[in-house]
Amino acid sequence: MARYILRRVAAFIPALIISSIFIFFMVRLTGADPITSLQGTQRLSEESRIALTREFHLDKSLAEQYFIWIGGMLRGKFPVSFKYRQPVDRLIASRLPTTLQLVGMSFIFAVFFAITIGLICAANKNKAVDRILSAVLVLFASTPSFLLAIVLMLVFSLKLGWFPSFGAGHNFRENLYYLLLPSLSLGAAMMSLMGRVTRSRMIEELGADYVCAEIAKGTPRHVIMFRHCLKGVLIPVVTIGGLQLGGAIVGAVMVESVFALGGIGDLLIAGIKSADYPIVQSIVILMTMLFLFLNLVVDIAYTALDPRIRAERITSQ
Amino acid sequence: MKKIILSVFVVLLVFTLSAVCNSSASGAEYTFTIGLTGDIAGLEPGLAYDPNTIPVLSQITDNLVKRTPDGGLEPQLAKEIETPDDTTYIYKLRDDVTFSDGAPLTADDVVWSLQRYADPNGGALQQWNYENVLSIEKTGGLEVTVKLKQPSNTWKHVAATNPSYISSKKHFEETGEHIGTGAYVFESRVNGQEIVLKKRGDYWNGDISEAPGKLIYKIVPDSTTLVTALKNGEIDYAPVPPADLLGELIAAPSLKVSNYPDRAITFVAFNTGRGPTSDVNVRRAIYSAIDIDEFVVNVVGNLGSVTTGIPNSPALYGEHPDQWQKFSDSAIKYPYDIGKAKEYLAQSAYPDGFTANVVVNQNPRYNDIGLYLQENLKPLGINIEILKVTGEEHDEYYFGNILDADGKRGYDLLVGSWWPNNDVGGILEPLYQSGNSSNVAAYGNAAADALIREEMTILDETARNAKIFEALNIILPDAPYIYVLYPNAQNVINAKFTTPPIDSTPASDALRYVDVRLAK
Repeated sequence: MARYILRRVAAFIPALIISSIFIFFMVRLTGADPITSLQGTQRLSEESRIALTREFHLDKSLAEQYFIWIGGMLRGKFPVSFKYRQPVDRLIASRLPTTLQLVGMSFIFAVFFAITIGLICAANKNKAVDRILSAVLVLFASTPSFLLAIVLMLVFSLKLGWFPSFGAGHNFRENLYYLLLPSLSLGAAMMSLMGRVTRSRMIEELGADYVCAEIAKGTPRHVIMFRHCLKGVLIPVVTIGGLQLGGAIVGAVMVESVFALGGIGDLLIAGIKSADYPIVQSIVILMTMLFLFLNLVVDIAYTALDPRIRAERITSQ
Repeated sequence: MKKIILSVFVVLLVFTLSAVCNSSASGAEYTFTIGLTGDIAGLEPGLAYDPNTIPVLSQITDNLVKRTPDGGLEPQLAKEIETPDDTTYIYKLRDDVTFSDGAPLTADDVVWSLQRYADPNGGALQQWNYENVLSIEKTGGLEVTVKLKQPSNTWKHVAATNPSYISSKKHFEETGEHIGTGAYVFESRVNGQEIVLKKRGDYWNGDISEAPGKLIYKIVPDSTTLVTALKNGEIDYAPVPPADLLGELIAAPSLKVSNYPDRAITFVAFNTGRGPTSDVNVRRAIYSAIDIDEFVVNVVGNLGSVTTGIPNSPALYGEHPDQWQKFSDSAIKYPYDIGKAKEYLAQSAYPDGFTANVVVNQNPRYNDIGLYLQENLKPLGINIEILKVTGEEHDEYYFGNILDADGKRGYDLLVGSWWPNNDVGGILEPLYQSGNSSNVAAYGNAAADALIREEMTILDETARNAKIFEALNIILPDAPYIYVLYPNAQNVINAKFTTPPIDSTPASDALRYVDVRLAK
């Protein structure tokens, strides 16, 4: 297993190099001028423009700019934000906990509700409760997270006044309260897909021969579902959940913006708007690394859950 | 597995519910919460160049001179200003001013602060204000002398606004951080979320015991969220409320929306550097073909006013409004007259019409203007294509950073606004002088340029007005811009607070939250 993980981590290196080149040049393709962005709708002296261009290395060729950036990143030195004039790692470090907590909470909500709803639907296949819950899952799957975020905010913050309309709170307990609506918004789409997969897999499992044998032995239905079928159901759920978790980090950008959470997503949007290349490049490369890492975690979890895959991987080594 | 998931969920739920109870139990504190649309650039005065950073730094720091709500100037850190000649300003500092660490204000602090702005390599975005400054020197224990290269009627405004916040030299050298002499001092900041300032206990400039104990700036980029937070009472004040949701704010009983005349001008700029709009008769035809007054009355309503055909609104008439009124009455204008518009077009190189684009951004007012142009120019055979871009792209077009294949500004028409400082010539030089990046019309006229350069060095306002009118008499017949409206400024405050009149233009630093009071 250790060799397998090492091999996978080694494969990250070329993926990250290619991603870094792609990210760097894609961001520059927009052609936006960072200095004009700093200037806003006001004036800037030519002397200041020249000084800032030099300070931000914008007077160098794109290739040189790339090597300055990637060289610094490899030495652990993040670039300095054009707008905030401080190293991007400091900006990211202050905002990352909010984003991670949001994604973590939304994932927990998604998994809990997905498995619960999926199992209820499977146990009541084709009955009214199954049809209603399945329709709810489809509704969430087709609702963009930012739209759900606005609806939840208008209902639970503006109309009912139960939750704050923005912000992430000042301590862990406040964070949980403040992040409840955002995490439900973000988790809804994840829940929908996982819930539908749980339902269909559980229906398949319940039709398997070993389940018939258990029924014949008089084993109660809930025991069959939870003790025997659930593990088999979880394998595809983990796969999908892992992939969706990566997607949730990207999806968090919009939800963070609506709820003004001040996380990585907010910073990324602000960076894009102000052509703050160091921020955009650093966050996107960080997201790429996170995505690769999550894929690895999913693969390891997959191995742990399914002995057949574990055996296959050991054999292939 | 199910037990683990269930346990985690239950723990989360319990924490959440306990936080709900905890939160609702928290008592009210006399704080004033301000909604900003983006994070501040930092606490370095040289970065105070955007509508989010300025309202924070202007509470921490002071200027040598300050603006009064009626647009005048009065000494602040300086007790007296002497001008022995047209290029010398001697600031005699007050001897009772202290920084928030208790240290007294010295001439060294003022010289150091101003020189940091003036240094082209210092990174201060406002450095252009110091291009005409020859020297900044300490000429006494509490005296600073600023010498200009040539007389300037704008320097007095520079000393009163964001390009001249004074901070403590000694404190910066010891800690690397800036502190000022303002009524509030920095307490904490959570990047991307909030900035908290607390009231000084030893403020040098009068009794501030009734002022808010804390100013909390919340960063809320989304318009819908900002409006919800204002209506919920989570935010007390928005200096720049979202224009597209203003109606909703006006309708909310818990909020007071102030709507007052501003100094700004909203215009349609013709790109005089290329294509059909380089033809003066085309510009006159377009100007005459649209009923701007009808547009302002029916579409803008009371959120702006009809222009008098000149760029300066009455709020920017300076010390001699009578002179401006007289000029405005006699200035060349292009009132709505479709017959005249057709005549102008017939005299142009495009008598059968043409296709042109107009750049607008997400500001709904700009889009309305684009649509109005599109609809009203059809009878002339002029087909207008609306190019709707983001605010940032709009800035790029505005300042001439997006060019066509021939190196000309990449648009035919552009809807935009200009917010001048409180100076009668604050629109003239930026919008009309050749080569200025803010000259959105790419307009150029050597005679007008010479007059503009001259008026900027005249200190007597009557003599200066004469030069400005002379320049405008050259410019206005060329119709480089359509003056659409003088937009009002708005701010929104929770009805539980009272304030004196607040000047709240986007770049303003005249917002003194120390004057806010909790209504009794």
